Amino acid sequence: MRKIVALLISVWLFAFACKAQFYIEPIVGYQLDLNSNNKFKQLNTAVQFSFRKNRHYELTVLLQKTGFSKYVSGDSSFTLNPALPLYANAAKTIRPSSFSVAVGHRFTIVGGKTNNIFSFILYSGLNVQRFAVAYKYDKSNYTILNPDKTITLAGIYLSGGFEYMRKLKNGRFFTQLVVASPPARKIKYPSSFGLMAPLSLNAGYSIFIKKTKHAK
Amino acid sequence: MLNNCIKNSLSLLLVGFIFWGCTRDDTKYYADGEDKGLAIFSNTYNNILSCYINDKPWRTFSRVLTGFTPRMHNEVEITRQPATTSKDTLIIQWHGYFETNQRNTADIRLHLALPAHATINDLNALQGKRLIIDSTINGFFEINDAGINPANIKANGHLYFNIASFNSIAPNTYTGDISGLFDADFSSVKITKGRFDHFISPEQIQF
Repeated sequence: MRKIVALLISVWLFAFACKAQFYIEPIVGYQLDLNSNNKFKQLNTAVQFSFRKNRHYELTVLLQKTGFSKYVSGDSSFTLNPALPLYANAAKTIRPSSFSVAVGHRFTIVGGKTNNIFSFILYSGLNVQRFAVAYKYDKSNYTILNPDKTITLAGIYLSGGFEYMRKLKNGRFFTQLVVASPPARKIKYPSSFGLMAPLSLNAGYSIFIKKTKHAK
Repeated sequence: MLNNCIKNSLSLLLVGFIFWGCTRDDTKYYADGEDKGLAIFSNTYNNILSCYINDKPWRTFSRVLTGFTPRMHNEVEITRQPATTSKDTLIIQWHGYFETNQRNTADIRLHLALPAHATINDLNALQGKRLIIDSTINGFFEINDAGINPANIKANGHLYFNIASFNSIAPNTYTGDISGLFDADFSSVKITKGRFDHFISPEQIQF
């Protein structure tokens, strides 16, 4: 928490020190996982701090949290107790979530001088993914075959995509289609899932905060 | 000239020592979140058996390839004892130790009756079977350590083969894999929560 506060203060100081227009951009979206047979569909929320240097380029800092969903399935469990059925289903719930801190770049492709702007966006940063696994079964009699376990991993990641932005009277509305790599780590456990590589469709709003005397 | 000879000899010696120290560990231990000290129950060739012996975690040695002339140290061996009466005997022998005291080594053996003149198909027929091991009917478990099993009692128990799959790759040469669960009751000693998962190489099976 202290690190996040420190980061926010740094962003604030940077915003007021630099010669750029400064925006705060709340973002919400929905994402699919391109790994693990698209098991994990999630909502994502983010806040982005955007520094508009000129009409061709903006530097952004992104804080993103995803999750708010669960994946329910089952694993096989077996017992040696002859009084019980050999096989029983062990109900499994996986709650995936992730947190990212990234530095981004917004390059205008077309429409820099108009109200309708198409941009290419690119992010790189740190991504923490967590898969909380919980089982429901008869633990005293049954043993699960190839069980999953809760895994948390952090690593650097890259993401990129395209964005359409509409300039409004008091701000900017935008939608994005972004694909991200999984964090550059390996799960050292025989899990039934892999690290998430999300494809997300997002919408956000740029709230204009400050314009310095040098900004265009 | 002499210097060159010494240098070359030293280089060869160094390379030799490097190879001598090389090992390859074919055992994968993934800790079970529910049963502390045991490996998970798996069927993915992790090459390990683990269980509680009187509630103390016990596991097989790692399957390690070592040395300049490679030698595999196997954790499990399977043999068929031909019929002396009306049945053959399948013997599965696991070599291992207590997690808390690695010097305290022992073997767990399963003796299981098979039809006389059993073939590899009789072994494959065990897949998916849950058996009650009864020394008066079809076999027994034993532990060959006087410290653990001083009276050398033959134990009854239960056994489940999730996988028992073998293939003949040449005359009298087989490979396969086994995985499953077991428990055994030696009266004063109890084996509980046993689970095993092995790839069986041709050196590990005499059938």
